Amino acid sequence: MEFHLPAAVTFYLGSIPVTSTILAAWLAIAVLIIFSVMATRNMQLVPGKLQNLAEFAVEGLLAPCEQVAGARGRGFLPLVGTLFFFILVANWMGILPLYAENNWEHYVPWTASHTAPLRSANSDLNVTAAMAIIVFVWVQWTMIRTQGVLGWLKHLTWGPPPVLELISEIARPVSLALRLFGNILAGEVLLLVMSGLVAPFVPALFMGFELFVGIVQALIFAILTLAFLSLASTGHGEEEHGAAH
Amino acid sequence: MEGWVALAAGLAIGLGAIGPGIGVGLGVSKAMEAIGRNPEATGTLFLPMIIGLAFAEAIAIYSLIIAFLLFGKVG
Repeated sequence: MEFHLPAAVTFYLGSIPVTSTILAAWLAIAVLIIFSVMATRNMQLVPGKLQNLAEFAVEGLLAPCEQVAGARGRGFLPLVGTLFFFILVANWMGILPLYAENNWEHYVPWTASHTAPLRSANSDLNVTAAMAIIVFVWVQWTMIRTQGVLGWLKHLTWGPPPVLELISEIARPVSLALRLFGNILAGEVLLLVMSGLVAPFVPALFMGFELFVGIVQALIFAILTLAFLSLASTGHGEEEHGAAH
Repeated sequence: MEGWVALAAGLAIGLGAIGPGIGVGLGVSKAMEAIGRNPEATGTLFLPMIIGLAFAEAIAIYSLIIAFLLFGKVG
């Protein structure tokens, strides 16, 4: 029962190491692409099973987008939805048996090594930080686009100590990345400890709990992104007059 | 020295969980109270509550990461 914080290298692509978490992220992307292609390949007015599921998912996300950001919400849907579905699929796939780097040996007793080829994508800070940086850049860009460069600079130096907003802008992606990473990592460690203590039936309950954590964390990442984007596209002047809502 | 680091890892998450625990408890208790008073508001309350909980919970996650980092030093 040993835990390694950095992901293990599964194989080398030329001289570039490909870690188990990157491989898991690619798999999640592949699943999403295959699902999207299959669901939208033969679209009809009366949807089939897959198209119905896709429509349900997109409409389910469109509702909070329009609730939080009003008419602008539809424009935020592509980024928010992509993040939500990627995180959700990656989290849920991370519970599959082959993924468990940490409790690999409990399922397959004859493997002596601690390195499984796959590990839940979001249990790597590199993956979550990459998404948080995308959100950060897109939020800044939204602010520049809606308020102009001067408005953006004015926003960053707003307030009695002029660095307050700047610190808050930088703290947001850091907190986004660390929250998701910490939650999924904690889930992995929890499953590891549980399968070490009481195998094999009790860990199944905690896997059910991890399914719940997976969707809640995906929801939180997406909703916070939506909230940041919504705030970025409303200037300080508008906020003060209460026009933001 | 390793013993102290292990103790620090335990204390980091133990002490760091107090504040967020109180915060999450307060947030959910108020949300439940609001739902009890006005059950129709469940839908509108849910999303803001989750966002608030995420902010409170993030602090606990920071200390959890510190605990993991310290624990990694012990081995």
